[in-house]
Amino acid sequence: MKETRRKLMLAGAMAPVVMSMPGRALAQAGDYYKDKIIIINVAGGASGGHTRYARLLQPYLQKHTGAREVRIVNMPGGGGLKAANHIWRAKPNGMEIFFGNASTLILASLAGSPGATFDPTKFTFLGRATSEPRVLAVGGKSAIKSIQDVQKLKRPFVYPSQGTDEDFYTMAVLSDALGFKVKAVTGYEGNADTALAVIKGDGDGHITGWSESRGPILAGDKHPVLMVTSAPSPDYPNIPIVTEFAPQAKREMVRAMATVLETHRSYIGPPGMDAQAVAAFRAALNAAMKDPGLLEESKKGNRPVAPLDGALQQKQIAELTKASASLSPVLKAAVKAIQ
Amino acid sequence: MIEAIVAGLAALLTPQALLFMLIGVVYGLVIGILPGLGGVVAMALLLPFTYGFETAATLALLLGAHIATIWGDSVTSILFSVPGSAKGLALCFDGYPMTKQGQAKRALAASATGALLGGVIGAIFLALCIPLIRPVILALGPSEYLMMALWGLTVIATFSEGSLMKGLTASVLGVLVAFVGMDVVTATPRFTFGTEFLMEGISFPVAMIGLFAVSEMMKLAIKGTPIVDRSLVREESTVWQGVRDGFSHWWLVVRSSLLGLWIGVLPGVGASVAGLAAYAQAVQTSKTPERFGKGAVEGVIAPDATMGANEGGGLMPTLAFGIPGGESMAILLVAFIGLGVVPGPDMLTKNLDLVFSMVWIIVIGNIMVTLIGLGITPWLARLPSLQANLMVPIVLAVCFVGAYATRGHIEDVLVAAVFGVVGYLMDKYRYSRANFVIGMVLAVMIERNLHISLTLYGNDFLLERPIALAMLAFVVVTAALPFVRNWRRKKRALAAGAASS
Amino acid sequence: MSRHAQENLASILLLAVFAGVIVLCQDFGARARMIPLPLAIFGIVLTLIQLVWHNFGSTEELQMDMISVHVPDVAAGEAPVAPIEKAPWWREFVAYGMIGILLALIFVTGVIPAAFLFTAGYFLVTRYCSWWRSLLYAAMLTASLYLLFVVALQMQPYHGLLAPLFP
Repeated sequence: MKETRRKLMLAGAMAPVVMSMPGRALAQAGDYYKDKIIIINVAGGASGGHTRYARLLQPYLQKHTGAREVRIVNMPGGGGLKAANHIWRAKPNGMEIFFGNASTLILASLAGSPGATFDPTKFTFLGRATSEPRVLAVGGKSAIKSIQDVQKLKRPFVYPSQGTDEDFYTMAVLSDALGFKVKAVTGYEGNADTALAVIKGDGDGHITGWSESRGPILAGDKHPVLMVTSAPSPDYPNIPIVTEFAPQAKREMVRAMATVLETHRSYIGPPGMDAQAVAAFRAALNAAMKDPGLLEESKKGNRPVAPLDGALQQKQIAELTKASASLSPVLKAAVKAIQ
Repeated sequence: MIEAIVAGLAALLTPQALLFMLIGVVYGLVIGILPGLGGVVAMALLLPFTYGFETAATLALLLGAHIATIWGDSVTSILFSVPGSAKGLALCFDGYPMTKQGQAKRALAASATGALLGGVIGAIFLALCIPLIRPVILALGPSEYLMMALWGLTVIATFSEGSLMKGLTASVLGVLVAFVGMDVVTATPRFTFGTEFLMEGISFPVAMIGLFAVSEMMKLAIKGTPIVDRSLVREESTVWQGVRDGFSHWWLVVRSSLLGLWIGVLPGVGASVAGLAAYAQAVQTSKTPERFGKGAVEGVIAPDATMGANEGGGLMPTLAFGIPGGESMAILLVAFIGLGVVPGPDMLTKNLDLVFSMVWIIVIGNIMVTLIGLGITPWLARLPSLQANLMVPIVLAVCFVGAYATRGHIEDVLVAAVFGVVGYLMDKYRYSRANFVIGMVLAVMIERNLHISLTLYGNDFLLERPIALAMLAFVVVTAALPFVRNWRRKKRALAAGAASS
Repeated sequence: MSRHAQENLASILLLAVFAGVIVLCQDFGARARMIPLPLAIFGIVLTLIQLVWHNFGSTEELQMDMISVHVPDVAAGEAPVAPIEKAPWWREFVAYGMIGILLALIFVTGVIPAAFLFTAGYFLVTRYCSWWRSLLYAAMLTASLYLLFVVALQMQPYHGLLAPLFP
């Protein structure tokens, strides 16, 4: 309680500073959330990773928006689709914001999933909290040693998966772009289960977040062959990057896929959200992500942040509409194959 | 090794670690007793409080809470037939009948003792089995999981008292209910009628709250008498009796613990299956299987021993491969990373004392739970004799709040009510509710592993998986046993009848 | 309605459920219906056998069907199958009504207020205790539910259909 009050006072003290800033529009935007209640609909349960990030950012968002309260409401269901459908229908005044894995939503919609009743490109993207590079890894004892080996396989690449999650769709795009066949084995219980299948050799390889595969890779149980990212990183210098590796004709599609994957944990508003609200939220989020307090907490709790400005995100998503023409049929065909 | 065992214990014997464990245990007991919430919730809610404390204390808090939810679940299953979560399900089968027969103290004590012995035996074997863990995890796969689930189905015969037709029908219904929702294997929404809510499926804890708790309360309201009418049934058992039961069935406890340990080790086989498998095992190996379902103390001891040992096993995939075996282990993994510990094969060589700290936490945590449990048992055992008019509204209110809290969907309240009425009718017309939930628990596991086996190994996957084939033979034999026994007894009875006339 | 007719009605209801499953399965792909479809057919077969046996089997075997697994062993001190509890027929409908009222309260007033109203109302209607004790007990229960679920376990409160009337 005391903590909140202190932050409230802090926010109050900040308000004059914001108001004295030059430019009328900016002053109004900065004021937009002052003393209001922002509801963050987290697309997942109270114990999930999204909630942990939402709670990490909550006090800093409150500080930088000047809001009376940033309230976290858990809205689990349908792998985030429930929360997304909710925000699609929400009032566009910026008082209700979605937080969760944006890539799943975009992919579910592109693949024509029956639960997705929205057009993902029409959402208002407000900025990213974090993103994790995704890696295609094969079993440590597998004869496959590189992505070229995957392409040269005489048989389909056996891919154990839980179901039609983002990694399933990624695999479908990779198989189309890099020209190899995939046999998806769906129905595994979770990532532990698919990881074991790969380590055992029941499956050839699977896609996970980088941090999740790092342990088994270091121990030699898994071997990374491809990063599904748009840019190289010093963390994994010797692994090829899909956007550089794919043939020229497929580059655009692969880049679109990487863009989708890299939206990851983002704040999203309803379509046609109030312009002042958009400006205020994006500015506050950008400021929050640079707050030394947040950076310290992020380091202490080992919850890395990877900010991306909302306006930039919106531009990338708009470009996606073009690529979706090529993505959609690939994803739909992959879903059809397991039915 | 010995050094690591001692160092692991020493790290725990700080005032902070012991205090944290006590807090965790008490908190876990409360969560366990509340319907609808399991150990995962217990751990997740503690997680934010763990940053910045010493490693042993943090683990003591989290694991202590997780361990305590097991017996907490059992308490309400035994006393009111209200399973706190999927884990407590098997305790309803014999624990509740024991309560009705005035043996609540014995049942509670036997269950606590079972959990303690299971936890300790599980921890000891865990320490011994460390070198075996990796090969075993690698040898078993989807086809073998399928056989384990089929084995769980053999319990159905036990509950088909009176009519096998009705018993089987109930299981079929349970399986079909489990299929409601998005089928992840084929990305097909099944039986959802286009609703967003049903896409997620029927929550298992919510269905159980309805089938058992709500329907039992309806029965009480109709009868107007307490669960146990003290003027008719006196509480004659003692706590000591239950403790003795636990120790005198030591061989059952050992078998159940080993089963629980290995089920825990295998990711992809859940704790709710562990309870049923333990129960199946107790029935199949009993010389008097017909006593089960009517208040056999073995039916209480075996599932609790399995659950107790299950926890230790669940740590293994996390430690051996750095991949969390279940949801609760995923949360533990987050705590590990927060503490700067990198789980994985290195844990078993470089951080062995930490591994043993966890083994010790399981042992000490279980002792704490059992001591607290045995201490409060006499008070708990009085609850079922409370007047129906006091019990019914309180239990119903708690159950409906619990049903809502399970996933935070208001529709789940409706689901609990519908299943309450269905459970009441099933009980009235003698369609076994136990068989219904057994079908529901095992359905998804059977379907998924069958699909995976078919896709990976083709239609004759059994020929490619000799272990699975051997397991299938075992399943068929154990499933046939009660029929053979019964047939023999009938023949004997007929012969005796002929001889006497 | 006689017990015999009720049992038949239950079987017919089950047949309808299984038939419905078969109809719904027609929309699924081959893999999605691989288990539910045969299972529903199995359910129909089971129910039909049950129906036939119930109506045409000999009367002694009514309770104990063809393939009964366990014969109660009276000699071993085992109680025979308990007779169905005799309670006035209307009490059953009171029980259904009770669940209905609790549901309605939850949807109208929200989860936690409904717990208070239901318990207090139940105590009052059954005259379990005096009215002030009823309110006291109900308030104590509601407070502990609130503390446990909302404060300690961070459950999102559901405010009910009346909530929009009180901004």
